[in-house]
Amino acid sequence: MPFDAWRYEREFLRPLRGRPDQVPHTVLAARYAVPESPTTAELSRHLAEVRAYWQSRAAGPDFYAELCRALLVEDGRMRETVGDPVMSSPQWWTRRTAPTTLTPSAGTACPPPGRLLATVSGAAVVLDWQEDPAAGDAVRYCVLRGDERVPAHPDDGVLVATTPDLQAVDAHPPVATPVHYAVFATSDYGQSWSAPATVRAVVLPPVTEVGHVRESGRITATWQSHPAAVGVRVRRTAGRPPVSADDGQPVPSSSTSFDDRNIRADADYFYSVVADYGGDLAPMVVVAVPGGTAPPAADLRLAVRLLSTRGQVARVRLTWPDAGDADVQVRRASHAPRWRTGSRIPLADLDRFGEEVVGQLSIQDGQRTLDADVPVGYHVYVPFAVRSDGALVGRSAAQGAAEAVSHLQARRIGDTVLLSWRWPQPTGFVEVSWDTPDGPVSQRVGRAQYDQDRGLRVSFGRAAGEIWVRALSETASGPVMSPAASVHIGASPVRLTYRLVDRRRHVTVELTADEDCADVRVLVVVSSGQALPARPAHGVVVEELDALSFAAGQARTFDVALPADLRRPGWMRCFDGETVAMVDPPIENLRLR
Amino acid sequence: MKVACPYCYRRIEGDRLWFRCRGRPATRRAPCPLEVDKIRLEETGFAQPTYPAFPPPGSRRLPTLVACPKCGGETGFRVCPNCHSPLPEDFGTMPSPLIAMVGAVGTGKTVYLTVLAHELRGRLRRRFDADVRLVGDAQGGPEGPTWLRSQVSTLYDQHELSPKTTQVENNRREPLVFKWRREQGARLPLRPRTVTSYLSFYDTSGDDLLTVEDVTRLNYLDAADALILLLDPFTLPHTRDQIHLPPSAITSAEAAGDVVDRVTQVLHATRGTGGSAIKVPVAVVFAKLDAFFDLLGLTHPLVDVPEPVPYHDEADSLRTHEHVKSLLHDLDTNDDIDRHLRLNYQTFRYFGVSALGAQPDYETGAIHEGGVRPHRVEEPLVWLFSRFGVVPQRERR
Repeated sequence: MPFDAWRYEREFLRPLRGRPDQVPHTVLAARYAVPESPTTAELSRHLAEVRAYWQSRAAGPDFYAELCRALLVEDGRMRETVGDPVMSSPQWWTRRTAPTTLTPSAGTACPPPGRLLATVSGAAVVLDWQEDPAAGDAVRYCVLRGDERVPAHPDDGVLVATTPDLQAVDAHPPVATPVHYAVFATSDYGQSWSAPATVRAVVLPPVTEVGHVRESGRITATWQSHPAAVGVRVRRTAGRPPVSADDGQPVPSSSTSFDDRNIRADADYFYSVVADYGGDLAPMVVVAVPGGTAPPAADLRLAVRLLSTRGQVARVRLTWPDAGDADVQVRRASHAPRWRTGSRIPLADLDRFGEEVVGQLSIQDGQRTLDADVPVGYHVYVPFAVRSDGALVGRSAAQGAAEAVSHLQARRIGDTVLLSWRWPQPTGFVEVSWDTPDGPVSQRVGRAQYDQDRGLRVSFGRAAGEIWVRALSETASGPVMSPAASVHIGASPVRLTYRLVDRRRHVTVELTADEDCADVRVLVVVSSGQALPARPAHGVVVEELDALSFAAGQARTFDVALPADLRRPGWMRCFDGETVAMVDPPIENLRLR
Repeated sequence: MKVACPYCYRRIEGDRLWFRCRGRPATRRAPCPLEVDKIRLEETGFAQPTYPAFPPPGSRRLPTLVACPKCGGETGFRVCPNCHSPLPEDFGTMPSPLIAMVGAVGTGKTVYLTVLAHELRGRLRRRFDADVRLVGDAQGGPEGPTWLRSQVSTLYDQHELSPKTTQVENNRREPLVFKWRREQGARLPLRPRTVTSYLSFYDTSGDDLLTVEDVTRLNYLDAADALILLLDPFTLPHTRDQIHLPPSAITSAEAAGDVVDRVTQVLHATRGTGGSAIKVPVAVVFAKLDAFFDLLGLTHPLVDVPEPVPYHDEADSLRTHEHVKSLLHDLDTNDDIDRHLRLNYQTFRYFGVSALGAQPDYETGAIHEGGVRPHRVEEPLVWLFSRFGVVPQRERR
């Protein structure tokens, strides 16, 4: 059977995402995706295919590449210690895949882990176990999940973790259905495995992200429930917390909120919110709503400004009004919170939203200012007024910053400017802008176009000015822009074209400027020999035209006498006195024969 | 038509190629055995077993299919009659110039060849509406078509200069061979015809040119249809009087004129010129031009970038020639190189190029962060192409 790369990625690589250090501890047969009962030829071909896959995948920028690089390193070690002939032997692999390896054999297999416990935490399952004292050093554990039955060996079921620790977390188990976990131990790098320790669990995630708002005559609350939940039951008690999910008066609700208008203004209320999984109930979540009116949260309004970027780090300035006796904590996430502005939320929920923004805090004129470094990208910043009984959700602000381009360089070629810069990774576009007499101009340029055109050419015109380049980066929330890198472009000089007429004893030099100009100096130089004079010193100055004035587009002519002793073939060329840019005619026009 | 075999560098008649058996015998005949071809082994070092090579029957026009004299099976696989290396099916029917790139140590030949090959498959292909395929790449040895890919990756992706090219061993290194196809002769009432040429480039190690004896060992110089002679302007006597260069930029201690002189001696000797001018066309390429941009000024013709046109612009090329000669005169006041070329070569032309577009950091080997931005690198090649009839030539003004 040919190597199924898609399946390998899904079943072997994905569970190892971000954990390349775990590669050495994975089950060998799974690592090499060894087929069942292969012949020697099939095995050799299969191993070559797997290695070719690792090689081809290792060059990418993603976590697959990171894992494949680790796999190649580990494969190199394996080939060094075991050798290719042994690895191509089906018998060697049989010893590593057969269920017989699960039974302790002749004192070589590791004893199984003890006291395996599964604790449901939200939508995840935390597994803890104890090491058998007889297991020795360097014990590794392979944790598997079987959705319908107990995993029988280390290649059976979904790999949760391979770890030397005594704990593993299954972050995404199936919900509202029994699942079985098995933990195998090995002390010989997967050559033999212990019998499994097993445990069963049922995951019933409670509602999350609960927030409430108490206004005059009504209490509203919102939450998130797991997609597998078929409904949510809400009950209310007054003046005391509920003792069970059946305690209190039912409150009508949708699957994500309730709006209770049947309340007294000064009473304390408690609501039990319970997710229902078709008869199986999740743990109860209690919303405590104290009496009285909450302070207005709309005043807690955040402003954010991008100060700069440096590499992958952006510096932002966050400002908000002083919130009196409450501490304000600003947190950032890639998305807006699900709570409404003004919601009161349990303190325990605060840490579940993004991460706290830390930096240098200052207070002035009733305003608090926080300067902080954050990763480039798009962030939603949310202020929370934190009190002992919960946190109040303030009004959020969003800011996106991409890494800026660097090493911006410009070269003027006539009216055109050739730009180059270093592209930040993984930017695909930049926006280039500049001012013209007709108004500002901007142009979006892709990386491929830049590479194809060997930089970017901009029709900039004659005048001096600035060019700004901003990088655009795609985030999950849309494109974000970097601060501008800028470069100054000097003005293009007046171009003075010329041609030589009648090149025997006298030469008529016809000069034309493309703009009005004055006080122009022109040197007319002749030289003998093979090479066109590169500078006046390479020939003889036969005419020095000083303080010339030109009207744009109007030719002026000057007669120049050639030296009697000029040896031919020779050259005549005009040079400017650095006030204008002299433009040569076709080369044959400069030749004196 | 005589063409140079890109594997053994011998000149061979395009209509007298040999064939190789396919190993599929005629009915009721025994198949040919796979054996090491001793001639191929001796000429090229290729030691894998192959089916036998044999000459075409008779002296008429080269057939497309012939029968193997041993097994009677038909074959159309063509090989070089001298070294028995496989050749493309239409090799030898159109001009297929072997272009040798020569220059002193540290001139930047490998960088230039890499950028040129990259341009050939990119901008130059689009400019001439040609189909360009790399059909041979063994500059790095027998490991396969990886040399160019690796060089391009080093320059364009990693933004680094490649290490110095090592000296040729056993007198062998295979060239880069490109297949170039484009339509020609589209004027009514003629229908356009597709013309195929094979372009071979050979990257010499500068070490191979250190002595006349070294140069003599390079068979390809004898077989070359054209030369691209790369000059390092930093080694010219007055360059450092005119532009500021860090000490690390001087990567070659050898005068450019000395290399030109040695190449000339070999060409005179191997081609039996009897002292008369050498006929092989030479593109004399003034490299690292970006270092002179500030000296030349904004409007200098060598700083300008001409519009890409689907033909060789002879007037523009002549203008470049004269301005490079003028710059060369400025930096080499004795005119040694120009005089030497005028007295020894029938056809040569100057070009000014920058493969990278900006000076690299010679100490670290890092190229400018803005990436590779070649400046006029294709012009020598387009001029040579026009001389071989691979691209058209026009006087634009």
